[in-house]
Amino acid sequence: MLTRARDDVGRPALLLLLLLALAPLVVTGVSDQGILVVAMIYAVGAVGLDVLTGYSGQFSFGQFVYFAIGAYVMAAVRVHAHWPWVPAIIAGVLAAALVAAVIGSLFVRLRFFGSAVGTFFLGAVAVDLISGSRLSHWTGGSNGLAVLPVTIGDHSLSEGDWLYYTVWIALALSVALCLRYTKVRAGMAARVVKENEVVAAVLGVRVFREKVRAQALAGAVAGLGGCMLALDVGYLSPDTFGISQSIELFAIVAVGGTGSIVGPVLGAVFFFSLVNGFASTSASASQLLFSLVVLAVVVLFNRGLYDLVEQGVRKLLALRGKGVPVAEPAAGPEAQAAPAASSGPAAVAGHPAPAVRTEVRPREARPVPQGPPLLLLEDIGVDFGGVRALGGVDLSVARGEVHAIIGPNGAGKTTLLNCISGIQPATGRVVLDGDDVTALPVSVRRARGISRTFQHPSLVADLTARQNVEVGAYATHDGSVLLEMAGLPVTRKRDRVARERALAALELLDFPKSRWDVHAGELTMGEQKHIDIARALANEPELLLLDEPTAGLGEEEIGAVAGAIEGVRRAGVTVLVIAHHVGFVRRIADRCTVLDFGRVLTSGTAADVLTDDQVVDVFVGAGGKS
Amino acid sequence: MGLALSVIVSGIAFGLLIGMLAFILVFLYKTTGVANFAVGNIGMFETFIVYELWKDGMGLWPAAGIGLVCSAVFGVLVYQVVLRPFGGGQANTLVRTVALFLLLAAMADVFFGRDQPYHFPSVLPGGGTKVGGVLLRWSDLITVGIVLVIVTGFVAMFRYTRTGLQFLAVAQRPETARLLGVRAQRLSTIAYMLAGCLALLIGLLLAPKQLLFSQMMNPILLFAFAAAVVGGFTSLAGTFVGGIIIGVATDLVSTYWGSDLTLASALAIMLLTLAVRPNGLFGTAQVRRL
Repeated sequence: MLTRARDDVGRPALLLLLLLALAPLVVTGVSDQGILVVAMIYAVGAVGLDVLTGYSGQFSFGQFVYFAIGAYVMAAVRVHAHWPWVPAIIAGVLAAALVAAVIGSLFVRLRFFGSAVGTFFLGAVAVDLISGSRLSHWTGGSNGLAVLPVTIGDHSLSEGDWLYYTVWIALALSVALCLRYTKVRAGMAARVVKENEVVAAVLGVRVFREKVRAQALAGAVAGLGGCMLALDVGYLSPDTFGISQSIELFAIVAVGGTGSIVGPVLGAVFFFSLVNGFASTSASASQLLFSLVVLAVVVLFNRGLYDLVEQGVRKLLALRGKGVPVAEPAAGPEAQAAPAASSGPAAVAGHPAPAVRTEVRPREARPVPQGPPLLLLEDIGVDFGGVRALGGVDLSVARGEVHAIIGPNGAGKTTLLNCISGIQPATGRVVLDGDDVTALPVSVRRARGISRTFQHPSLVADLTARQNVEVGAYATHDGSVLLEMAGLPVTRKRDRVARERALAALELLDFPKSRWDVHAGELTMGEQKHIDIARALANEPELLLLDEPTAGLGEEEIGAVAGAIEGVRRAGVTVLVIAHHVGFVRRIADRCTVLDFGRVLTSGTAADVLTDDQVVDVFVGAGGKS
Repeated sequence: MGLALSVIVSGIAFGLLIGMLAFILVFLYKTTGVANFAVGNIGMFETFIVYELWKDGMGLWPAAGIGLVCSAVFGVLVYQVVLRPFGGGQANTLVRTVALFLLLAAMADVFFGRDQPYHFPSVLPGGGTKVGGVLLRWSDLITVGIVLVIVTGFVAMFRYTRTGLQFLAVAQRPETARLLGVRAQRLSTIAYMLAGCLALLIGLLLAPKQLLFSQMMNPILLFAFAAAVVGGFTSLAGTFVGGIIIGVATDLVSTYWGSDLTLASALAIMLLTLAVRPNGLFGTAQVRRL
């Protein structure tokens, strides 16, 4: 269900909105139109919830809290402060966004489960507070609060076509806002956060901030939904905003399909028409039908309605254009690519693999680079609850060299890289280019020029190869999301720079152009490792840390990675690489450090180290020698 | 002072009920990987079944006995019919439990709820005794006793039986346990069977105190979540300690500040705990490999 997020839903969204705009021509009954109005009101908030869930990987089972805030603030400032309705709605939306940001920042540290429970809780608490006596001079307590009529000229916005199209405009706004969010940097960054927070942090993404932004956006549109609900019902009472409604909203998103923006709208319309069509007799009977259908859909089609429609349309297109390739590059058919991803080297042969450079440079002829070291580690120590992962490691990496770290499993190689990139707190000192960076956080170290890759390349599966690299290409992920969404020249320039840097990185690594716009989930392991390196490289680092770039690759792919690393070194980047493959190390490394049980065993030129008796012992094992 | 102490005592008894529900949540979370939002309503629905049997003229104890058997079957059905088929990952399963939560409430409303809330006959004797000016209700004391017996039973199961050992293995390292031949689905089924029975027990102990209706479990479910988070969500003992903390604190808050702040105070305790100790009082940080 949380598998795929889409950023190519603009046209389907437009189509659905158009259909909804035309619906009153066909759906003429007052009560039927009323059902569509309620569906659209839920959809206004559901779209925001999809941004939260499908794109930033967070949960909320309490989204009606923000509906309540929007509705109550709008109604209260009109009753108590006599505001006109336009500023009142704006106040409602802003209040909801603000509270969502505050509450979101409290809940961000809770993970998957915690945020589900926390928001669920919040929903219940909010109802208590609204109906309680403490806020009753504002909210009217359990008596409720009347919504003053909203009019344009003689027309009341609370009934008939005027109500319908007011709500429609709110929905269109909400959809447009959320679609825009998925297209800009913030939306892409949020998807990296959803995939893996640590990786996101290493790429310079402000994890906390991006999550709170998604919360605020979801809260804002929920607030707008609340204002629309206020227009529709005319009288606010605490029961309208209970936890059941919050859960229904989540169910609507789940049923419509997360990560699609259009899906939740579809889900809302589907539900309200179905439930009201069949069971208008009693409230609890329609509840029963609602929950049964939710259950059936999440059990049987666990990717949601949008996915179902998408598959259907794709099949239709395929039928119509038999033999002609579907002219929609962004929506590459997964079914075809899936076997390619799993069939290993054969698949690589199908796509032009990165050019393998066959020339082997004479290692011995090159002097070890002189001058002050770029990276200096002094006495680095890490304990994992009694297990000494690293016990006083000293290491010096010269500017411009390729330095390999080898050692058996559990020697502490990855932990050492984590210490350098700032993910893992450690004792000792990390000195970069003469400056002590030990106390600096991940993002600052990245800005100082440290980039890294991971043993398992955590690419965002539903972003293309090129987009994955672009996320890594931003010099900084700071700045206002509102400016980004407005598309001001400043942020456009920033996007262009990132695109150019990503392009440069991909070209430097000779990554085949035909594979640039393929979703990362459909790339082979070798290609994913390449993209991971490109992503780290796109930030134009001084020091590139590579964690086992050859693990799990075949000989040919290893050759390609070695070629890529040589390209990186020619570009003047210093490389610290963890590797197991001796041939690979011999080919690329100037110097080599051997780790064993968290200590440096030996260090020297690759040729010397690899023939050292002690090292052979560690790798082959004592039994292998005797 | 006497009032405060009496409140604390009844808070402890309520806290143990919260702890028991929290224990079910953690137990299911550890064995099946998903915290089940529907657990409270499962108990509510089963209690309704017992109530219907009793209303039709059956004795309370036989009705409870039949209810227990139904609960075991019900638990198995929940797992096999709702949660297991076409497994769709953590988020999907979470939504399934939420849908089940809604479904059970709606079913209770439609089938049983015409004239709710109902008075539920007490299983436990009324009255109590005074010790040093502090009122001790028999029902509270018996609740404490029941919970202690159940906890002992579970500890014994975990320590002395093969199934118990397998539960611990799955809780610690689900993948490894599976590779070692633990039949995870069988274990999950058993877990749901036990959970169904415990949920009924909670319902039976709770219903006489606070009327029987379809939403009766919502507050205690929230308290149980808070208790589980406070206790660390990995520690079984922690859930009961968390339950007592939440039970006593919310009882005091509702007595002295008003009942509209009880939920808020539980939420506050939960958030405060997370701010100070992100892994709860008894939890341990989990190291993730990159």
